[in-house]
Amino acid sequence: MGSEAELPYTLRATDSHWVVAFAAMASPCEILARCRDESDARKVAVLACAETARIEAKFSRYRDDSVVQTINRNAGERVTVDDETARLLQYAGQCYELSGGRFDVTSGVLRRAWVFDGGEVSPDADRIASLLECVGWPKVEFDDTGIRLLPGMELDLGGIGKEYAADRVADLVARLAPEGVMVNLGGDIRAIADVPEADPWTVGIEDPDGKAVAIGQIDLVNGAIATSGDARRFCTVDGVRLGHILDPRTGWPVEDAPRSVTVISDTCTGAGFLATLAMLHGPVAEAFLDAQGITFHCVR
Amino acid sequence: MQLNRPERIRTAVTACTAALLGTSANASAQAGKVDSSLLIYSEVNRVQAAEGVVDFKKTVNERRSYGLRLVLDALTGASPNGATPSTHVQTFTGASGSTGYTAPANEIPLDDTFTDKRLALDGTLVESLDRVTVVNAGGHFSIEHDYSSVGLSGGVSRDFNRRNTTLSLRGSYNHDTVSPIGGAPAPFGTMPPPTNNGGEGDGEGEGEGGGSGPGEGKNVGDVAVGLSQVIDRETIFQFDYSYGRSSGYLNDPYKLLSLVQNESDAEPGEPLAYLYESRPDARSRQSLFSEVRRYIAGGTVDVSYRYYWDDWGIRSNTVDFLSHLPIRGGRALEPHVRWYRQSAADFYTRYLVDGASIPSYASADARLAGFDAWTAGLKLSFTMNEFDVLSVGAEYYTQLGERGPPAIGILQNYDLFPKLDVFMLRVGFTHGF
Repeated sequence: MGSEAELPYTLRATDSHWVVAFAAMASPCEILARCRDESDARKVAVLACAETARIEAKFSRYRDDSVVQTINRNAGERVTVDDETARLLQYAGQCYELSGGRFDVTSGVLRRAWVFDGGEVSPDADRIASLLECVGWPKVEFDDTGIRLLPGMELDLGGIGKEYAADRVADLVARLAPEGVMVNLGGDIRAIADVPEADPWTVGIEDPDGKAVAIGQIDLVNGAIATSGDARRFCTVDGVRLGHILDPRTGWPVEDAPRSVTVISDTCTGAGFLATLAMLHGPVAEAFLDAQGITFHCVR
Repeated sequence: MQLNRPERIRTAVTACTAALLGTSANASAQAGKVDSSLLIYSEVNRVQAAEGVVDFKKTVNERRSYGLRLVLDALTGASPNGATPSTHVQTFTGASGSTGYTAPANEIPLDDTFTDKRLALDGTLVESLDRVTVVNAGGHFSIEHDYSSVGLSGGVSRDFNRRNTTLSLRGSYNHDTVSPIGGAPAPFGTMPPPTNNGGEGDGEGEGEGGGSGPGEGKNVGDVAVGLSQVIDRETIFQFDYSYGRSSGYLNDPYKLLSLVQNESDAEPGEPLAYLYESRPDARSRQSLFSEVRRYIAGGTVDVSYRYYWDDWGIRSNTVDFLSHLPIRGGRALEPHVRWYRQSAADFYTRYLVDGASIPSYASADARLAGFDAWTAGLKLSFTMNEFDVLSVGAEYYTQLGERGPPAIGILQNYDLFPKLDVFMLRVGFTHGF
């Protein structure tokens, strides 16, 4: 583990479990853990903070010294990557294939052509076309030990990183809370219990407008919840509301996309991908999710 | 909009995330640990031993781990040689063949030439074939000056029923070689008289069987099936059946039987000769084991019962109670109590009587006698930080021999199976990394 500054956290006990709270990845983070004693709960807090900080420092595109920024800065040249980064990139490539090109970790540059502050915009077709030149996973040379972006391309693992961190942290601390632990990194949730028939955690799904109105409730023991969509981030073009999810195939926001999609699955990484992919299906998001046979909540 | 083969996406996502998360799960998790301990074993007035253990376990990745274990023993002291007490001083040939040892009058003869060091090395490899199937394979090697052992073991376990049930199958095979100094004595062979010509000189002439001969072999095979069942959130039940068979040289080459004078002889009960023991050359062992472990108020209580029987006629019952009680500040107490009772082997006899027909097999080894034993102990462990645990434990073991049939002649005056008391102190240190 690196030398990241330790994240400050708070620890408190309830009747049935410990609550660790900290802030990371631009989100409030919370861990509920049924630990044997305070000593184990502290270990959960320390491990979770360290692992979250490690992943954020390594994969954030906002940090100059992150692996992602190193790759972006050296676009045009081959950058050697470690095992973990290679696995994430490999996963990103698989997501691209599985989504038929809708989910693309190189699509971040398209955001430069759009402002999602709720206002009316007039898209610049030329700019979008030129940005699309720098989008497309197949343009990336990746061979398990190194990656080379085309000049002008940018990698953004933001659509994977937080979910991945939730899974990793839960995995890491599970042995300290065999009766159950739930990791919540800004709404990306992963729960693990080693004891069969452990008491479930009750998770409320909030209205995407952020009014803290629960629109659904889920019991979670072993599994994950991820949400895609942010109701506050949209723009209007000729009076038509468009959400912030961009389709890398067109460079435009997906039309008729739900305001938010919440997916319940076995891992947070998987749930996050399915939620984003559903958004990218626009008007048929529900049909897509129905066909997957998974539990989900769509808000339109 | 294309929605072709959507189900495949979800299945594929599961596979892709498993590949992503599965192998990385240990990237910064504890990847291994070292357990080390030192045991001081002290039989009151008998054997004293020290044992050091270093147990190294390393997780290579999500699916594979291996372990290496090194054990070093050193023991010295006196142990009963099987002979009966006498009103006279008794002289025996020592394990070294030439240097004898004597037993004072009216005392149970002890062989105090006993000293040994042992080195044992074990290696295991554990591999998950999938999320519910685990296989393991191991090798074993140990050596001491007159004994060596090599072995292989393997097993497979599989989870069923939403991981609430685990079935396991284990097997092992060991080949041991016994190479007693002076060669392995013939069954019922007479112990040669000691060549103690005043204690001086080296007693070069060791007579027949000098040197450590080629050694006698012993093959030991074991198989076991186990079932572990989660009863509820707090309770786990374990059941095992095991079968083992040993064949080859099963005698203890240092154990004797006194051939004593019969009722019509001049001194009934006094020894006429010392014969080496004779055991069958095969032994089949079986045991049934059940255990219930329950989590109660943050701690665990573990109660187990074992029933053992073999074709030498030994039956034993073991009841074991162990509890793990966490106390404040990462400390824990572990009280332990065990009760054990075994019946004697069919051919166990405290001595042979002159003139009576000699049976096919006979041994006076106290370990084959009927007896009861109690063990009580307490361990205290301190979790020092995320990675280090220190423990100190003490145990007391006491063995009570059962009273045999009325003894012959002078032997009625002795307790032929005296009490054995053992104190054990173990200090352990576990370091995770």
